[in-house]
Amino acid sequence: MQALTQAELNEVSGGMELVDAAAMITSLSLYSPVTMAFGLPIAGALITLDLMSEN
Amino acid sequence: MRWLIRCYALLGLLWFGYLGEWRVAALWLVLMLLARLSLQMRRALQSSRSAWRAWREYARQSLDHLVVTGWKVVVFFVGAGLIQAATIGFDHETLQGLYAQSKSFSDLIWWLSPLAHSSLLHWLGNTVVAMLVLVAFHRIRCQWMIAWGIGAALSVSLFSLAFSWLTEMEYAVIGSSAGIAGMIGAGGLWALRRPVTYPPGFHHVLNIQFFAGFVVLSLMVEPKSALVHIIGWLTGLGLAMVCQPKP
Repeated sequence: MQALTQAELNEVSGGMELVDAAAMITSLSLYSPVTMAFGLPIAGALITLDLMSEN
Repeated sequence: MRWLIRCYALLGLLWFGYLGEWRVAALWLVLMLLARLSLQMRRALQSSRSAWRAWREYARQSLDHLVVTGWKVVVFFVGAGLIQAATIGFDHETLQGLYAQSKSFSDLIWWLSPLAHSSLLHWLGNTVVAMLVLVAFHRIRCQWMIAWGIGAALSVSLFSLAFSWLTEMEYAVIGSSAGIAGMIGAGGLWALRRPVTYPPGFHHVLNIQFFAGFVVLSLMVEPKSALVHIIGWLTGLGLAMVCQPKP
């Protein structure tokens, strides 16, 4: 395989990891008040983890 | 519940503001507004006895279909995941390198991108959502849902490749979420056109859930991902307008 520079690698981005899990949890959590109570803080925590891992 | 959503809104605003992520904080507030909208819709449905009964009956039938349809979706995704693990693997850098070097429609990897995932968590998330979406739309034939999903996913692959040609940027879209968004868009339109077959407000509930998770939350961290989901959803909507299954 042809070697790529780091800049080339950084330009390419694929599907997300934690964001996809957070998106799934958020979508499902809006189904009912109980799922909202638990799901929204979990989604918030996953977003925080993702933001912190980027910095 | 309202006070809890207000607490979450305030805590999120303070927390993301403290982190200096004001864009995320603003989107978090949008998410809380959607949560409130979802609650209001639920209350409105509960206030009508017939509507609530229709929802309960639909949810009960969906639960039955979880066994009938769910295992097929899981088997399909497990198969795709195993093939990926045995061939290219889930290593992010390998995937990036693979897509950065492929810039032609003839490269099979572009057309298989809806089946590839960047991590096990990404794969797991899409497997669960695909399963639930197919179960939620159990009154539409599976073949139609799959056709809409494949159509939306391939359209996004085409868009991604065209984008990389036009802008000379190597941006690869991988994962099944665009196809799933397409199924939600198409299924939602179908539910809107067949109000007798679905409980009241069905497409509203699903679209709120889609918009909250696939658009607002994706915008918080990766706007390109949200754009891909919107394109998938719109493609699904367009496909459902052109190809309508018989009732």
